[in-house]
Amino acid sequence: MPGIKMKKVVKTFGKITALNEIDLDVKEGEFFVLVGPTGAGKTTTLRVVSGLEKIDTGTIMLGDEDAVDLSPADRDVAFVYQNFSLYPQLTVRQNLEFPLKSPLHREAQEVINKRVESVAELLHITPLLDRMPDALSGGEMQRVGIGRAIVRHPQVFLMDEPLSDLDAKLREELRVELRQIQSELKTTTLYVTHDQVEAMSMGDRVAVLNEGVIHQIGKPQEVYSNPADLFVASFIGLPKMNFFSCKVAGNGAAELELENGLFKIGLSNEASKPISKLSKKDGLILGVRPESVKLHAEKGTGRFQAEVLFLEHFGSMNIVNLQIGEKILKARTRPTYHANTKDKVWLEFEEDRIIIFDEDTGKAVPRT
Amino acid sequence: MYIMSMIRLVNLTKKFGKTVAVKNADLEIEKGEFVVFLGPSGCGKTTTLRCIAGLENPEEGEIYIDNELVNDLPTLDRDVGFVFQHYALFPHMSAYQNISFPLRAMKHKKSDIKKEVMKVAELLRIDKILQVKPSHLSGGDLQSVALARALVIKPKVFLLDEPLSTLDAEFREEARTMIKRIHMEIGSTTIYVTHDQMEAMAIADRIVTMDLGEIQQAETPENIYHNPINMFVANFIGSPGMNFVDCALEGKDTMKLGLDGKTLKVNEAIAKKIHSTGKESNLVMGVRPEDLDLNMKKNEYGFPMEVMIVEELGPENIINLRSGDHTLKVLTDPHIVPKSGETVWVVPDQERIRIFDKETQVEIL
Repeated sequence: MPGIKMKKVVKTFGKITALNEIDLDVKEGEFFVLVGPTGAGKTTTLRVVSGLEKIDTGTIMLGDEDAVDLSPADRDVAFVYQNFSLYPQLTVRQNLEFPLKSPLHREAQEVINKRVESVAELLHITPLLDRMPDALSGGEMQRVGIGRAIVRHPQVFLMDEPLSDLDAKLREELRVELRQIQSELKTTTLYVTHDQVEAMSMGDRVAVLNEGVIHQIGKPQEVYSNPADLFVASFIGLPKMNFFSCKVAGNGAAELELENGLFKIGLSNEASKPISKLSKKDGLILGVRPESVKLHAEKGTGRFQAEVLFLEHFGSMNIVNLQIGEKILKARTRPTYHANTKDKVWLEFEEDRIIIFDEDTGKAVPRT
Repeated sequence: MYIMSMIRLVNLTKKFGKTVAVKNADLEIEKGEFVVFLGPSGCGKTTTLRCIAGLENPEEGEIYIDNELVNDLPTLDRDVGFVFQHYALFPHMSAYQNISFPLRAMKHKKSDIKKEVMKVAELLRIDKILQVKPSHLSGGDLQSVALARALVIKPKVFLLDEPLSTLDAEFREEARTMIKRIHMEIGSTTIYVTHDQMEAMAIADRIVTMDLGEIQQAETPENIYHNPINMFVANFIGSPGMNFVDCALEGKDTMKLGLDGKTLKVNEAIAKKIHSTGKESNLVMGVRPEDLDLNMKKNEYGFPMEVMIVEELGPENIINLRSGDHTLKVLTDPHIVPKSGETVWVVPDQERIRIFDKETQVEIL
């Protein structure tokens, strides 16, 4: 299975730059996710890899082969879309056989039967093989659609939001199944989604895109714990990271003043070191994820006071909405945590989980 | 007797041709309560809301608003404000003109109108965009203007039909917090329709789950999560949903599981309870993903399964396990990352095991 290498790929549509010097290096057999909001350039990236769109400048390699001038058919990639259109007049089996009977990939019937049956088993659709598409549920139809892409053993899968039309429960189920199937087939996969949970749960690595630019590439946990900039920090993670305007109070960086003096936090030597090296002392933003905001009933060093606004019970966890002055922030707690509106609580930020950003550039300050 | 209830539905039934959209719905909603109608598409949640608003006429049953039978009252006389998924703002009017529209239609005094609009605009933090027309506003601001237009008439009852579903995930969270905050400040009785269980859990005082036109359970988010009345509710609420395993009681403390003949030792209290129901087989055990513990060593209160896929979501991990064709999901802290292919022992929190009748799907303990 080949990898996919893109170097300085630029694609414009009229005056709009859809891809602005995209560099990607998808390894052989990797499950690589492109995640970002609408208009980020995710689908365009898939389309230039497939050959459906020509690029303006840059290079695309599939394995060792320069793919820029290859036609889509010669690239041996299979697309999986959000909305599959199965042939309504064909049974599930005939739909799955179809790609194997095209003039390009004509196979012996024996081979076809074998392939179709093994794909059907992989996708748990063996009992459906003789049904017509209109007798299938949405999830079943999506499975057949995925099967049709898999059946001819392409070198690369390109998946464009294949789960986003399904309901939440089915999505949860199918994302695991897709991941499982890919790990068995080991086919290089480029997967596009706007859903950060899908990106986190499925990707060996993810690239976070916005407006045609890659903001960060990394393992899901790296992107989550060490976001490169404010965009990545706020796009990945739900509930969102809490952000506060921040300036260094006094010498060193042992104390930070947040939200124009609304409250201060103290830092240990170790945590303050990278911040103290900064040339700027003001115009910073402090970010901390809800699970790194700790709640205490009592005062203590490094703690500051907040008022409980309301609790959200999600069953396996609670989100506590808190207020300091006009500023609202969220803390994630165990489901057993209880508090009433207007209760006073003491907060603490886990200092090794705090991230400082430069307000002007949006970039995160390295922690070491 | 019903002095406290702001809305009361008695035996409400609404049909569309042969389809029964809402079937014998009984419900009471208290003054100031924030109630969410939750269910998959086609469950009857929006139809119920539209009956309350007077946009649909039910075939049977009664609707009371503030103790008044309103079945024959037109929408305008029911004193309800509503907001839909598609905001339906007037495109040629500014935000201010849109918000003030219902007050102008009711011929309020100009000075009063201004006061009321400003008050609600400040509450929703849109006082700075009042002169802007809808085409220049973001999705979040459009939604706020639509909410303001419904709030400005100070309705007795506030009806919201999937108001956030067209917003992006990140705005949705903010808008949800805003709606909750407004409710806390003005305390109006609110019914909110959604298919999103996270949204329902986050925002509701009480969740009314519906399926196939029938109300399944009406409870607080915590109670509905921990004590679901049937398998539909158990699976629909929670992400990931509850795990289900077929089971039967064997002997005094052993459960035979529908997992390739595996067994699980249960404590006597559970066994006794199951025994007392008179039904010991054809049962389904339900356990929430966070109520399953993973052990590397054999454990008699657990059963072995193979690790399939680990999903690292940031603040938590979902460990997907399998045994033959059966899969289970376990929710763990982020530092727990077992390897694919490894065998682990799954130990349920005995206190949290729920038992359902496989035929009726109803919880029996």
